[in-house]
Amino acid sequence: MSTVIFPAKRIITMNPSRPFASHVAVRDGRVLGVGTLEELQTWGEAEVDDRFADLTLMPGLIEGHSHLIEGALWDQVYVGYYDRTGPDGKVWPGLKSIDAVVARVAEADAALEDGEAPLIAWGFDPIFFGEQRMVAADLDRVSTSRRIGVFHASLHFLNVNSVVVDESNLAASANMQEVVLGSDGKPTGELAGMVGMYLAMKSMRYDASAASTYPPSLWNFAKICQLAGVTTATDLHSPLDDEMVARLKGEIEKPDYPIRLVPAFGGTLMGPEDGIARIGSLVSKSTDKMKMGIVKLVLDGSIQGFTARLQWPGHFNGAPNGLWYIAPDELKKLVMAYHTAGHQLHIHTNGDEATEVALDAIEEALTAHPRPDHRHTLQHCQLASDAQFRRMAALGVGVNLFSNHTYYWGDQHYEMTLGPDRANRIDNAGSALEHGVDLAVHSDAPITAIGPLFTAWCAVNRVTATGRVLGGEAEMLSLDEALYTITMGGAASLKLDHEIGSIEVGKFADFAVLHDDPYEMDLLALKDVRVWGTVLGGRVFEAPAS
Amino acid sequence: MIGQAPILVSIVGGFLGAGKTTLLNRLLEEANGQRLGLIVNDFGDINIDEKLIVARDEDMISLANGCICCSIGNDFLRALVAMTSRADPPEQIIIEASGVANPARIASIAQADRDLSLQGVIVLVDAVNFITQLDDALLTDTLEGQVRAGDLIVLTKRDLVSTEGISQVEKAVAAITPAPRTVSSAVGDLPIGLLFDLSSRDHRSKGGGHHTHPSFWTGSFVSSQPCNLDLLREELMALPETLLRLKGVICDAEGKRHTVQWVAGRLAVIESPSTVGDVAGSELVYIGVGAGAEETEVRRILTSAFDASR
Repeated sequence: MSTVIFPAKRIITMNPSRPFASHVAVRDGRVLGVGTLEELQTWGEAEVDDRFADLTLMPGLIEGHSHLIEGALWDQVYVGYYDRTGPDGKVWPGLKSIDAVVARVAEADAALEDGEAPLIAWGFDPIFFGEQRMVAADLDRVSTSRRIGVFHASLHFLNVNSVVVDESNLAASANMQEVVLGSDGKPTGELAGMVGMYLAMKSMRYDASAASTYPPSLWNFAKICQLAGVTTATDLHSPLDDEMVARLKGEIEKPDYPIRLVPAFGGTLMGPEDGIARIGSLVSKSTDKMKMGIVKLVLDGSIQGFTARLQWPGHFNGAPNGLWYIAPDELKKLVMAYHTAGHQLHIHTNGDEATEVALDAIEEALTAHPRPDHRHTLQHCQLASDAQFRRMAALGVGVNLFSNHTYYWGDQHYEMTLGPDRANRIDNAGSALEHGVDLAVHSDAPITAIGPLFTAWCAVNRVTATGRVLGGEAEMLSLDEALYTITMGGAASLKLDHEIGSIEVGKFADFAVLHDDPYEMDLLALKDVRVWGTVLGGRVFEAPAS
Repeated sequence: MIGQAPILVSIVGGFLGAGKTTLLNRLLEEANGQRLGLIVNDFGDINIDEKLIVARDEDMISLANGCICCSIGNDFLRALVAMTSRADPPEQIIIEASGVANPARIASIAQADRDLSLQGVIVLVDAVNFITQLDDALLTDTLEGQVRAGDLIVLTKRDLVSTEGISQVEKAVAAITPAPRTVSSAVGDLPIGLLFDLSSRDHRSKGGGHHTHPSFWTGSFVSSQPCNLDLLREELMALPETLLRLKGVICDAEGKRHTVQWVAGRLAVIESPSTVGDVAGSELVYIGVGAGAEETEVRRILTSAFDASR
C-alpha cells in the first residue's frame, strides 16, 4: 500500500472545489489526495517523486471520438497536407504539392526490399490543390511494376497507379459512378467510395480495419495517444466479437499499455436483438482499462465529402444532398431498441437534417420509455442550430463536436460546402454550453490527428488554416471551458466522469504531463503546448520524443 | 480466379420493405442446382432450412446445395472479396443493397473487377408505399437515386394495389427515369426465373429454363452467320423496352465463341474458353413482358445484327 506524492509546478485539477494545487498523492493507482505536501503527508508515510517538479499536470486527456485504424495506418506511408506525429514521436512534415506526395511515396518505394509488395499511403487531401488532381501517371513515376494505392484523408477515396488500373476492369467498363475519368474518357486512377476500398482489398490485399485490432497497430495507437497526453481513447465503431475482445484485452490489460480504451459497438452490424445480446454480454467483461457498453450509430456522411444530410438550402456549391446510412424510420427503431435495453447511444450526425432526425428519434424513445441520465450523445453534430442545441438540452442529450474542422476544413466550408453563414456556425461550442448541453470535442482520428490540446485551441480561437475567424466571440470557448471539454467533458460523454476526467480523490491517477502551463500561455499558442508524457493509474509513461 | 470465367453479379436494391428479402428467399429455394453466393444485410431475415446448413460461422453460412450466404456483417467489401477469392467461387453472386443504399455504387464494384461481370441492377419498388415515401422530403432523393440506378424496376405488391394505383406508381417511376423497364408482381409471385439466370450452364436451354408466367413471352433466334460484335452492341441498343433479358452464345468471324448476357439494357459479352466444337453458329433466347407484340421487332433487330453484308 505504498503512496507516492508528486510535486508539480502546477496541477490543474478540473475539480472546481480546488482547481489548482501543487501536489498529488497516488496510492493503488488512484488519487489519494490533492493539495499541499503537508496536507498529503497526513495520510502517513509516502515517497516523494519530484520528477514533475518543473512540469504541469492536468487530468489525462480524453479522446472521445477516435478509431483504432489510426494505429494500423502508421504502418503505411503518411502523405497528408498537415504535419503529423508518428507513434515514435517523429514529425512527418505536411506535403504541400502533388510532387511532394509522389516524392515521399518514391522514398518509401526505394526502402521496400520486396519488389512485389503493394505500397499503401494515406492522408492525401486533394481539396488543398485546387483544380490539380493526382493521376495514375504521377504514381507511375514511382513504379510501373509495384501496385501503389494512395488513400485520401477521408479513407473513402483512393488514387492508384497504372498497374492497378490495368489489372482491373476500370478501362473497359462504362458509366461507372465512382470512377473519375479524364478528358480522354479513360480512368485517371482516382476512385471514389467503395470501388477504391474494394480494389485496395482485392488487388493490394490491404484491409486497414482488420489490421487495426492486431498488436502492432494497438501499440501504435496507444503511443500516438501518449504523445498527445491522452490516457483514455475510444474506438467508436467496432464489432466487438469474442475473438476481437480477447485480442484487444491481450494487449490493453498489459501493465505497460499506456491507455484505457472505450470501444463502441456498431449498432447496425447485426439486427438490434442480436446486437443488444452482444453488447449486453460485454458490459460485465469491462475492466478498469477497457470499458464496454456504449453503442454507435452512423446516420449520415461528412460535410467535406458532400455526404452529410443538410437542411435547406443544402450545399453552397449546389451539390445534391448527402446520404442516409440509416433510414430515418429505421433509426427510430434502433434508438428505441438500444435505449429501452439501457444502453448509451453515440449517434454520428454531421448535417443539420441528420441532427434533427436523431433528436426526433431520441425524443420518441424518451417519451415512450423515460430514462434518467441516458446521456445519449450526438457525435460531430457540426451544423447544429441554436434551436437544435436547445432541443438537446431539453432532452438531456450531450454533444461531442468535431471542433478542429474550423481549422482543417473551415475555409472549404466557407467557400465550397456551406457558404459563409453556416461555415460560421460549424461546431458552435459556445452555444452548446450556453444551453447547458454536455460538451466534448474530438479528432475523429485517423481523419485528423489525435490532439485534444490542438482541438481545444480550435474551440478557443476558431481560426481556419488561412487565418479566417469563423463565427462570433460567443462561440469561442474560454481557456477554462476548453480544458474542461477535453477532460471532464470527454469523461461525462462516456459516462466515466466518476472515474476519470479530473485529478480528484478516488479517481484513477491518470495525468497529462506538460512542459508548458496553458494558463501561462497566449491563447493563440495553446496548440503549441509541449507534452512530456502521461501517467496512467499511477504508472509513468514518458513520451519517446522528449 | 485467374483464367476462369467471371462470376455473374446481380444487385438487388430498393427501399426498406420493398420485398428484397422475400425475393432472396425465393431465389435460394429456386437455385436450380446453381451455386449461388448471396450477400445479404442480415442473416436474421433469410429463411434457411437448418437441415441444409453444412457450415456456419459469424458471417457465412454454407448450404448442402452448394449455395453460400454471407451477411454484410462487419464489412460488405470483405465479404465480397472473401466470396470471390474462394477455391470454389459461386457461379453467380447476388448482392442485397441496404434499404438506403444507391445500388449503382455497389454496381461499380462489380464493373471494376475482372473476376466479376455485372449482370444487372434490379430495383424493387413498393407499389403500396412508394408514392407516400417519395413525398417524404427526407427520402425523395434517396428513392429517386435508387430508381435511376435500376436496369430493371420491379413493382412489388401488385396484388395489393388497384390497376389505377399501379399506373400512378408507373407514372412516378417514369417521371424519375425515362423509359424504365418495368415489371409488376405480387411479392410472393416475383418472377425469379426472369430476374436471374438460373438455367444450367452446361447446355443451352430454350426459354432459359424459366417457368411460364402469363404476363411474359419468350422467343429464340438462331443464326449460322458469324456475328460482328460491334454491330451487335450497336443494334442491341434499339431493343424495345418490353424486352427484359436476352442471352446465349454467339460465334464471331474468327470462330471464337462468346457468352452474351443482356439484362434490361445492360450488355456483358464474355469470351468463352473453347472455340467452335459441337455447335456452330449463334443461338440466343430472350424474354419480354406483355403480350409479345414486339417479338417481330426483336427478330428484326437480331437479324440485322447478324447481317454479314453490313
